[in-house]
Amino acid sequence: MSGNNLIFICTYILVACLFILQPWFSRTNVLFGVVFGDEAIWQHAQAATIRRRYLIEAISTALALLLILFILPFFLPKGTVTAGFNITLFALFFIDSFIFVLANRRTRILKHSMVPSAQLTTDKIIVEVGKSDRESVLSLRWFLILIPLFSATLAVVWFGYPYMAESIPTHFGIAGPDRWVPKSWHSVLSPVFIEMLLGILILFIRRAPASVKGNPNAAPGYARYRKMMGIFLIVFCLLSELLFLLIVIGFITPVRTLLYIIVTLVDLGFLTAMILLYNRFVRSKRATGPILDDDDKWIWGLFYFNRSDPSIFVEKRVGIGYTVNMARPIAWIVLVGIIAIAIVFSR
Amino acid sequence: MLLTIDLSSDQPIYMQIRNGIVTGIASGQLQDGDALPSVRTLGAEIGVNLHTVNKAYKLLQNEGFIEIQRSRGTFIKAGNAAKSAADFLQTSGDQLRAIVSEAITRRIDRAVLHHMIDHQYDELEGNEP
Repeated sequence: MSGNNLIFICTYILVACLFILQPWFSRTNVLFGVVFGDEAIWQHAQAATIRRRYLIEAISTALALLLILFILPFFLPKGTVTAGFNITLFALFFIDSFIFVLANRRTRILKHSMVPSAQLTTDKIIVEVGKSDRESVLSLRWFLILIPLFSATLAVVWFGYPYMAESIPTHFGIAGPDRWVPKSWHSVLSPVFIEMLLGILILFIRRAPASVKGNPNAAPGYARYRKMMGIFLIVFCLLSELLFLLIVIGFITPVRTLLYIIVTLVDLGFLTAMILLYNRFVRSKRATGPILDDDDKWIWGLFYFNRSDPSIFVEKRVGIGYTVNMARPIAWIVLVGIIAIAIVFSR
Repeated sequence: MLLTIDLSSDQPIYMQIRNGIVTGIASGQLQDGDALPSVRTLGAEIGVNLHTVNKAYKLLQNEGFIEIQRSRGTFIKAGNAAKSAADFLQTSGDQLRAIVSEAITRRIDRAVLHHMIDHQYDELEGNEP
Protein backbone atom coordinates (compact mmCIF):
# COMPACT_ATOMS: atom_id res chain seq x y z
CA MET A 1 0.00 0.00 0.00
CA SER A 2 1.43 3.39 -1.03
CA GLY A 3 1.94 6.21 1.47
CA ASN A 4 -0.89 8.23 -0.05
CA ASN A 5 -3.34 5.33 0.16
CA LEU A 6 -2.41 4.92 3.81
CA ILE A 7 -3.19 8.64 4.35
CA PHE A 8 -6.57 8.15 2.60
CA ILE A 9 -7.45 5.16 4.82
CA CYS A 10 -6.37 6.94 8.04
CA THR A 11 -8.26 10.11 7.05
CA TYR A 12 -11.34 8.04 6.20
CA ILE A 13 -11.27 6.19 9.56
CA LEU A 14 -10.82 9.47 11.48
CA VAL A 15 -13.61 11.26 9.56
CA ALA A 16 -15.95 8.23 9.81
CA CYS A 17 -15.42 7.94 13.59
CA LEU A 18 -16.06 11.66 14.14
CA PHE A 19 -19.09 11.59 11.85
CA ILE A 20 -20.69 8.51 13.42
CA LEU A 21 -20.09 9.80 16.94
CA GLN A 22 -21.70 13.20 16.19
CA PRO A 23 -24.89 12.50 18.20
CA TRP A 24 -22.66 12.20 21.29
CA PHE A 25 -21.38 15.73 20.61
CA SER A 26 -24.56 17.48 21.68
CA ARG A 27 -26.00 18.90 24.87
CA THR A 28 -27.09 16.16 27.28
CA ASN A 29 -30.78 17.07 26.91
CA VAL A 30 -30.57 16.72 23.12
CA LEU A 31 -30.86 13.37 21.36
CA PHE A 32 -30.47 13.16 17.58
CA GLY A 33 -31.29 16.88 17.32
CA VAL A 34 -34.49 16.60 19.40
CA VAL A 35 -34.61 18.68 22.58
CA PHE A 36 -35.85 17.23 25.89
CA GLY A 37 -36.46 18.72 29.33
CA ASP A 38 -33.42 17.06 30.93
CA GLU A 39 -30.63 14.55 30.38
CA ALA A 40 -32.73 11.63 31.68
CA ILE A 41 -33.56 10.89 28.04
CA TRP A 42 -30.09 9.28 27.67
CA GLN A 43 -31.13 6.68 30.26
CA HIS A 44 -34.51 5.98 28.62
CA ALA A 45 -34.75 2.35 27.41
CA GLN A 46 -36.35 3.21 24.06
CA ALA A 47 -33.78 5.95 23.43
CA ALA A 48 -31.03 3.38 24.03
CA THR A 49 -32.63 1.15 21.39
CA ILE A 50 -32.68 4.06 18.90
CA ARG A 51 -28.99 4.78 19.60
CA ARG A 52 -28.02 1.11 19.25
CA ARG A 53 -29.87 0.84 15.92
CA TYR A 54 -28.21 4.04 14.68
CA LEU A 55 -24.76 2.76 15.65
CA ILE A 56 -25.27 -0.63 13.95
CA GLU A 57 -26.51 1.00 10.71
CA ALA A 58 -23.86 3.76 10.64
CA ILE A 59 -20.90 1.48 11.53
CA SER A 60 -21.99 -1.17 8.96
CA THR A 61 -22.11 1.52 6.26
CA ALA A 62 -18.70 2.89 7.24
CA LEU A 63 -17.14 -0.60 7.24
CA ALA A 64 -18.66 -1.49 3.86
CA LEU A 65 -17.27 1.72 2.36
CA LEU A 66 -13.89 1.10 4.03
CA LEU A 67 -13.75 -2.27 2.30
CA ILE A 68 -14.48 -0.53 -1.02
CA LEU A 69 -11.70 1.97 -0.23
CA PHE A 70 -9.24 -0.91 0.34
CA ILE A 71 -9.96 -2.58 -3.00
CA LEU A 72 -10.40 0.67 -4.95
CA PRO A 73 -6.67 1.14 -5.88
CA PHE A 74 -6.64 -2.32 -7.54
CA PHE A 75 -9.46 -1.41 -9.93
CA LEU A 76 -9.02 2.28 -10.59
CA PRO A 77 -6.44 3.57 -13.08
CA LYS A 78 -3.54 5.48 -11.53
CA GLY A 79 -4.35 9.15 -11.03
CA THR A 80 -8.04 8.59 -10.28
CA VAL A 81 -7.59 7.14 -6.78
CA THR A 82 -8.04 10.60 -5.18
CA ALA A 83 -11.37 11.04 -7.00
CA GLY A 84 -12.39 7.54 -5.82
CA PHE A 85 -11.52 8.48 -2.23
CA ASN A 86 -13.53 11.71 -2.44
CA ILE A 87 -16.57 9.86 -3.82
CA THR A 88 -16.33 7.23 -1.03
CA LEU A 89 -16.15 10.00 1.58
CA PHE A 90 -19.15 11.76 0.01
CA ALA A 91 -21.09 8.45 0.03
CA LEU A 92 -20.27 8.09 3.75
CA PHE A 93 -21.58 11.60 4.50
CA PHE A 94 -24.72 11.04 2.45
CA ILE A 95 -25.67 7.57 3.74
CA ASP A 96 -24.76 8.25 7.39
CA SER A 97 -26.70 11.55 7.29
CA PHE A 98 -29.71 9.61 6.04
CA ILE A 99 -29.29 7.13 8.91
CA PHE A 100 -29.14 10.12 11.31
CA VAL A 101 -32.38 11.52 9.83
CA LEU A 102 -34.08 8.16 10.46
CA ALA A 103 -32.85 8.21 14.08
CA ASN A 104 -34.14 11.81 14.39
CA ARG A 105 -37.59 10.68 13.22
CA ARG A 106 -37.66 7.79 15.68
CA THR A 107 -36.64 10.16 18.50
CA ARG A 108 -39.41 12.63 17.59
CA ILE A 109 -41.96 9.80 17.69
CA LEU A 110 -40.58 8.75 21.08
CA LYS A 111 -40.89 12.35 22.37
CA HIS A 112 -44.54 12.58 21.27
CA SER A 113 -45.32 9.31 23.03
CA MET A 114 -43.86 10.60 26.32
CA VAL A 115 -45.56 12.78 28.94
CA PRO A 116 -44.70 16.39 27.96
CA SER A 117 -41.90 17.74 30.11
CA ALA A 118 -42.89 20.67 32.35
CA GLN A 119 -39.51 22.22 31.61
CA LEU A 120 -40.20 22.53 27.88
CA THR A 121 -41.97 25.66 26.68
CA THR A 122 -42.92 26.90 23.24
CA ASP A 123 -43.68 30.52 23.98
CA LYS A 124 -41.44 31.84 26.73
CA ILE A 125 -37.84 32.90 26.53
CA ILE A 126 -35.74 34.41 29.32
CA VAL A 127 -32.65 36.39 28.42
CA GLU A 128 -29.98 38.13 30.43
CA VAL A 129 -29.80 41.91 30.01
CA GLY A 130 -27.47 44.20 31.94
CA LYS A 131 -24.39 42.67 30.32
CA SER A 132 -22.52 44.44 27.58
CA ASP A 133 -21.21 42.75 24.44
CA ARG A 134 -17.71 43.08 25.90
CA GLU A 135 -18.58 40.38 28.42
CA SER A 136 -20.29 37.98 26.05
CA VAL A 137 -18.89 38.61 22.54
CA LEU A 138 -15.28 38.13 21.42
CA SER A 139 -13.62 41.49 20.78
CA LEU A 140 -12.72 42.35 17.20
CA ARG A 141 -9.20 43.15 18.45
CA TRP A 142 -8.48 39.42 18.55
CA PHE A 143 -8.74 39.36 14.78
CA LEU A 144 -5.86 41.84 14.47
CA ILE A 145 -3.40 39.06 15.31
CA LEU A 146 -4.32 37.40 12.01
CA ILE A 147 -3.23 40.41 9.95
CA PRO A 148 0.64 40.18 10.12
CA LEU A 149 0.88 36.61 8.77
CA PHE A 150 -1.86 37.30 6.21
CA SER A 151 0.02 40.39 5.01
CA ALA A 152 3.30 38.42 4.94
CA THR A 153 1.73 35.70 2.78
CA LEU A 154 0.23 38.29 0.43
CA ALA A 155 3.59 40.12 0.21
CA VAL A 156 5.49 36.90 -0.56
CA VAL A 157 2.98 36.10 -3.34
CA TRP A 158 2.96 39.66 -4.70
CA PHE A 159 6.67 40.38 -4.72
CA GLY A 160 7.87 36.80 -5.17
CA TYR A 161 5.74 35.95 -8.20
CA PRO A 162 8.52 36.52 -10.80
CA TYR A 163 10.88 34.25 -8.83
CA MET A 164 8.41 31.37 -8.44
CA ALA A 165 8.90 28.07 -10.31
CA GLU A 166 6.76 27.46 -13.38
CA SER A 167 4.97 24.55 -11.63
CA ILE A 168 3.09 25.24 -8.38
CA PRO A 169 2.46 22.32 -5.95
CA THR A 170 -1.22 22.02 -5.01
CA HIS A 171 -1.26 18.77 -3.04
CA PHE A 172 1.09 17.43 -0.38
CA GLY A 173 1.59 13.76 0.53
CA ILE A 174 3.89 12.13 3.11
CA ALA A 175 6.92 12.60 0.85
CA GLY A 176 6.13 16.24 0.05
CA PRO A 177 4.31 17.78 -2.94
CA ASP A 178 2.76 15.22 -5.28
CA ARG A 179 0.55 17.32 -7.59
CA TRP A 180 1.43 20.45 -9.54
CA VAL A 181 -0.31 23.02 -11.76
CA PRO A 182 1.22 25.66 -14.09
CA LYS A 183 2.05 28.97 -12.35
CA SER A 184 -0.73 31.58 -12.50
CA TRP A 185 -2.06 34.32 -10.20
CA HIS A 186 -5.03 32.05 -9.53
CA SER A 187 -2.87 29.16 -8.31
CA VAL A 188 -0.45 31.24 -6.20
CA LEU A 189 -3.21 33.32 -4.60
CA SER A 190 -5.22 30.24 -3.47
CA PRO A 191 -3.61 30.03 0.00
CA VAL A 192 -4.25 33.77 0.55
CA PHE A 193 -7.95 33.44 -0.27
CA ILE A 194 -8.39 30.32 1.86
CA GLU A 195 -6.81 32.23 4.79
CA MET A 196 -9.22 35.12 4.26
CA LEU A 197 -12.16 32.73 4.15
CA LEU A 198 -11.17 31.16 7.47
CA GLY A 199 -10.89 34.59 9.11
CA ILE A 200 -14.31 35.71 7.78
CA LEU A 201 -15.95 32.52 9.05
CA ILE A 202 -14.63 33.06 12.58
CA LEU A 203 -15.93 36.64 12.41
CA PHE A 204 -19.44 35.31 11.79
CA ILE A 205 -19.61 33.08 14.85
CA ARG A 206 -18.91 35.89 17.35
CA ARG A 207 -22.63 36.28 18.12
CA ALA A 208 -23.89 32.80 17.14
CA PRO A 209 -26.54 31.84 19.71
CA ALA A 210 -26.61 28.48 21.51
CA SER A 211 -28.41 25.55 19.90
CA VAL A 212 -30.64 25.25 22.97
CA LYS A 213 -32.39 28.35 24.31
CA GLY A 214 -35.08 29.24 26.83
CA ASN A 215 -33.10 30.80 29.65
CA PRO A 216 -29.41 31.51 30.36
CA ASN A 217 -29.12 28.12 32.12
CA ALA A 218 -30.53 26.18 29.17
CA ALA A 219 -26.97 26.37 27.81
CA PRO A 220 -24.97 27.20 30.96
CA GLY A 221 -21.72 29.11 30.41
CA TYR A 222 -22.33 29.28 26.67
CA ALA A 223 -21.10 32.90 26.21
CA ARG A 224 -17.79 31.98 27.86
CA TYR A 225 -17.47 28.82 25.77
CA ARG A 226 -18.22 30.78 22.56
CA LYS A 227 -15.46 33.26 23.39
CA MET A 228 -13.00 30.44 24.10
CA MET A 229 -14.02 28.70 20.89
CA GLY A 230 -13.46 31.97 18.98
CA ILE A 231 -9.94 32.34 20.43
CA PHE A 232 -9.21 28.68 19.67
CA LEU A 233 -10.36 29.10 16.08
CA ILE A 234 -8.22 32.25 15.73
CA VAL A 235 -5.15 30.29 16.92
CA PHE A 236 -6.10 27.49 14.51
CA CYS A 237 -6.41 30.08 11.74
CA LEU A 238 -3.02 31.54 12.75
CA LEU A 239 -1.39 28.12 12.43
CA SER A 240 -3.08 27.60 9.07
CA GLU A 241 -1.72 31.00 8.02
CA LEU A 242 1.76 29.84 9.02
CA LEU A 243 1.27 26.67 6.97
CA PHE A 244 0.12 28.69 3.95
CA LEU A 245 3.05 31.11 4.37
CA LEU A 246 5.43 28.12 4.29
CA ILE A 247 3.63 26.85 1.19
CA VAL A 248 3.97 30.14 -0.72
CA ILE A 249 7.63 30.46 0.40
CA GLY A 250 7.98 26.92 -0.96
CA PHE A 251 6.87 28.25 -4.37
CA ILE A 252 10.12 30.30 -4.43
CA THR A 253 12.65 28.29 -2.45
CA PRO A 254 12.42 24.70 -1.07
CA VAL A 255 11.09 24.41 2.48
CA ARG A 256 11.84 21.31 4.58
CA THR A 257 8.85 18.92 4.60
CA LEU A 258 9.34 18.45 8.34
CA LEU A 259 8.18 22.04 8.92
CA TYR A 260 4.88 21.38 7.10
CA ILE A 261 4.36 18.20 9.13
CA ILE A 262 5.05 19.95 12.46
CA VAL A 263 2.58 22.78 11.73
CA THR A 264 -0.06 20.30 10.44
CA LEU A 265 0.32 18.14 13.57
CA VAL A 266 -0.03 21.17 15.86
CA ASP A 267 -3.15 22.12 13.86
CA LEU A 268 -4.58 18.63 14.40
CA GLY A 269 -3.69 18.93 18.09
CA PHE A 270 -5.84 22.06 18.24
CA LEU A 271 -8.76 20.18 16.69
CA THR A 272 -8.41 17.52 19.40
CA ALA A 273 -8.29 20.25 22.05
CA MET A 274 -11.54 21.64 20.60
CA ILE A 275 -13.24 18.29 21.27
CA LEU A 276 -11.93 18.32 24.86
CA LEU A 277 -13.11 21.92 25.24
CA TYR A 278 -16.58 20.89 24.05
CA ASN A 279 -16.77 18.04 26.52
CA ARG A 280 -15.59 20.20 29.40
CA PHE A 281 -17.73 23.29 28.77
CA VAL A 282 -20.81 21.97 26.91
CA ARG A 283 -21.35 18.23 27.23
CA SER A 284 -20.73 18.08 30.97
CA LYS A 285 -23.12 20.97 31.77
CA ARG A 286 -26.67 20.33 32.98
CA ALA A 287 -29.52 22.41 31.58
CA THR A 288 -31.92 23.86 34.14
CA GLY A 289 -34.96 26.16 34.01
CA PRO A 290 -37.41 26.55 31.13
CA ILE A 291 -36.15 25.26 27.76
CA LEU A 292 -37.55 26.36 24.41
CA ASP A 293 -39.05 23.45 22.48
CA ASP A 294 -37.99 24.53 18.98
CA ASP A 295 -37.65 21.17 17.22
CA ASP A 296 -39.74 22.57 14.35
CA LYS A 297 -36.91 25.05 13.63
CA TRP A 298 -34.42 22.19 13.21
CA ILE A 299 -35.20 20.29 10.00
CA TRP A 300 -34.21 16.62 10.57
CA GLY A 301 -32.28 17.89 13.59
CA LEU A 302 -29.56 19.09 11.21
CA PHE A 303 -30.65 22.24 9.37
CA TYR A 304 -31.72 25.38 11.22
CA PHE A 305 -34.58 27.33 9.60
CA ASN A 306 -35.98 30.22 11.67
CA ARG A 307 -37.38 33.27 9.88
CA SER A 308 -37.60 35.40 13.03
CA ASP A 309 -34.02 34.74 14.16
CA PRO A 310 -31.64 37.42 12.82
CA SER A 311 -28.62 35.14 13.35
CA ILE A 312 -26.75 34.04 10.24
CA PHE A 313 -24.71 31.41 12.07
CA VAL A 314 -25.91 29.39 15.08
CA GLU A 315 -24.32 26.67 17.19
CA LYS A 316 -24.92 23.22 15.69
CA ARG A 317 -27.57 21.20 17.51
CA VAL A 318 -25.56 18.04 16.93
CA GLY A 319 -21.79 18.04 16.47
CA ILE A 320 -19.13 20.60 17.35
CA GLY A 321 -19.18 23.87 15.45
CA TYR A 322 -21.67 26.17 13.78
CA THR A 323 -24.26 26.01 11.04
CA VAL A 324 -26.20 28.61 9.04
CA ASN A 325 -29.77 29.81 9.55
CA MET A 326 -31.27 28.63 6.24
CA ALA A 327 -34.18 31.09 6.55
CA ARG A 328 -31.85 34.04 6.00
CA PRO A 329 -31.00 34.82 2.36
CA ILE A 330 -27.62 36.22 3.43
CA ALA A 331 -26.80 32.83 4.96
CA TRP A 332 -27.32 31.23 1.54
CA ILE A 333 -25.12 33.87 -0.08
CA VAL A 334 -22.39 33.24 2.52
CA LEU A 335 -22.73 29.46 2.14
CA VAL A 336 -22.67 29.49 -1.68
CA GLY A 337 -19.80 32.03 -1.58
CA ILE A 338 -17.74 29.81 0.75
CA ILE A 339 -18.33 26.71 -1.37
CA ALA A 340 -17.59 28.63 -4.60
CA ILE A 341 -14.35 30.14 -3.26
CA ALA A 342 -13.30 26.78 -1.78
CA ILE A 343 -13.91 25.01 -5.12
CA VAL A 344 -12.29 27.70 -7.30
CA PHE A 345 -9.18 28.03 -5.14
CA SER A 346 -8.68 24.38 -4.26
CA ARG A 347 -8.42 23.37 -7.92
CA MET B 1 -31.13 41.02 35.18
CA LEU B 2 -33.39 38.46 33.53
CA LEU B 3 -35.94 39.59 30.94
CA THR B 4 -38.88 37.30 30.20
CA ILE B 5 -40.42 37.46 26.73
CA ASP B 6 -43.76 35.80 26.04
CA LEU B 7 -43.76 34.90 22.34
CA SER B 8 -47.51 34.18 22.34
CA SER B 9 -48.56 37.38 24.15
CA ASP B 10 -50.78 40.00 22.49
CA GLN B 11 -48.33 42.63 23.65
CA PRO B 12 -45.72 43.34 20.95
CA ILE B 13 -42.24 42.03 21.73
CA TYR B 14 -40.67 45.50 21.53
CA MET B 15 -43.08 46.68 24.27
CA GLN B 16 -42.22 43.63 26.38
CA ILE B 17 -38.51 44.49 26.05
CA ARG B 18 -39.21 48.14 26.89
CA ASN B 19 -41.42 47.30 29.88
CA GLY B 20 -38.97 44.66 31.15
CA ILE B 21 -36.09 47.14 31.16
CA VAL B 22 -38.19 49.85 32.84
CA THR B 23 -39.21 47.30 35.49
CA GLY B 24 -35.51 46.43 35.94
CA ILE B 25 -34.71 50.08 36.54
CA ALA B 26 -37.65 50.52 38.95
CA SER B 27 -36.64 47.46 40.99
CA GLY B 28 -32.99 48.54 41.11
CA GLN B 29 -31.75 45.52 39.16
CA LEU B 30 -30.58 47.89 36.44
CA GLN B 31 -28.80 51.02 37.55
CA ASP B 32 -27.36 54.11 35.90
CA GLY B 33 -24.26 53.22 33.92
CA ASP B 34 -25.14 49.51 33.53
CA ALA B 35 -24.51 48.30 30.00
CA LEU B 36 -27.16 46.61 27.87
CA PRO B 37 -26.42 44.05 25.13
CA SER B 38 -26.21 45.40 21.59
CA VAL B 39 -29.25 45.25 19.30
CA ARG B 40 -27.64 42.36 17.36
CA THR B 41 -26.79 40.32 20.45
CA LEU B 42 -30.19 40.75 22.12
CA GLY B 43 -31.97 40.01 18.79
CA ALA B 44 -29.95 36.80 18.42
CA GLU B 45 -30.53 35.75 22.04
CA ILE B 46 -34.32 36.20 21.86
CA GLY B 47 -34.53 35.14 18.22
CA VAL B 48 -36.34 38.24 16.98
CA ASN B 49 -35.81 40.69 14.17
CA LEU B 50 -33.22 43.40 14.80
CA HIS B 51 -35.85 46.08 14.05
CA THR B 52 -37.88 44.83 17.04
CA VAL B 53 -35.00 45.34 19.48
CA ASN B 54 -34.03 48.59 17.76
CA LYS B 55 -37.59 49.88 18.18
CA ALA B 56 -37.53 49.05 21.91
CA TYR B 57 -34.14 50.73 22.39
CA LYS B 58 -35.20 53.85 20.44
CA LEU B 59 -38.36 54.09 22.56
CA LEU B 60 -36.34 53.75 25.78
CA GLN B 61 -33.91 56.37 24.50
CA ASN B 62 -36.71 58.81 23.65
CA GLU B 63 -38.29 58.25 27.06
CA GLY B 64 -34.94 59.00 28.71
CA PHE B 65 -34.24 55.57 30.23
CA ILE B 66 -31.16 54.67 28.23
CA GLU B 67 -28.35 56.33 26.32
CA ILE B 68 -27.07 54.94 23.04
CA GLN B 69 -23.43 55.82 22.40
CA ARG B 70 -22.44 55.09 18.84
CA SER B 71 -19.10 53.37 19.42
CA ARG B 72 -19.30 52.39 23.10
CA GLY B 73 -22.69 50.74 23.40
CA THR B 74 -26.01 51.17 25.20
CA PHE B 75 -26.24 52.20 28.86
CA ILE B 76 -28.93 52.79 31.46
CA LYS B 77 -29.38 56.48 32.15
CA ALA B 78 -32.62 56.76 34.08
CA GLY B 79 -31.79 60.25 35.34
CA ASN B 80 -33.17 61.65 32.09
CA ALA B 81 -36.49 59.88 32.71
CA ALA B 82 -36.85 61.52 36.13
CA LYS B 83 -36.53 64.93 34.47
CA SER B 84 -39.50 64.17 32.21
CA ALA B 85 -41.76 62.87 35.03
CA ALA B 86 -44.28 65.65 34.37
CA ASP B 87 -44.59 64.54 30.73
CA PHE B 88 -45.10 60.97 31.89
CA LEU B 89 -47.90 61.95 34.28
CA GLN B 90 -49.60 63.84 31.49
CA THR B 91 -49.31 61.05 28.87
CA SER B 92 -50.10 58.17 31.23
CA GLY B 93 -53.29 59.89 32.41
CA ASP B 94 -55.23 58.31 29.53
CA GLN B 95 -53.92 54.81 30.33
CA LEU B 96 -54.77 55.24 34.01
CA ARG B 97 -58.24 56.57 33.14
CA ALA B 98 -58.86 53.44 31.03
CA ILE B 99 -57.84 51.15 33.92
CA VAL B 100 -59.98 53.07 36.45
CA SER B 101 -62.94 53.05 34.02
CA GLU B 102 -62.65 49.30 33.60
CA ALA B 103 -62.36 48.86 37.38
CA ILE B 104 -65.55 50.89 37.90
CA THR B 105 -67.49 48.93 35.26
CA ARG B 106 -66.35 45.69 36.88
CA ARG B 107 -67.42 47.09 40.27
CA ILE B 108 -63.91 46.87 41.72
CA ASP B 109 -63.56 48.93 44.87
CA ARG B 110 -61.33 52.05 44.84
CA ALA B 111 -59.41 50.65 47.86
CA VAL B 112 -58.61 47.41 46.00
CA LEU B 113 -57.10 49.34 43.10
CA HIS B 114 -55.16 51.52 45.54
CA HIS B 115 -53.91 48.37 47.26
CA MET B 116 -52.82 46.90 43.93
CA ILE B 117 -50.77 49.99 43.12
CA ASP B 118 -49.23 50.03 46.61
CA HIS B 119 -48.37 46.33 46.25
CA GLN B 120 -46.60 46.95 42.92
CA TYR B 121 -44.66 49.86 44.47
CA ASP B 122 -43.61 47.68 47.43
CA GLU B 123 -42.56 44.80 45.23
CA LEU B 124 -40.44 46.93 42.90
CA GLU B 125 -38.89 48.96 45.71
CA GLY B 126 -38.16 45.81 47.69
CA ASN B 127 -40.30 46.81 50.70
CA GLU B 128 -42.05 44.21 52.82
CA PRO B 129 -45.81 44.36 52.01
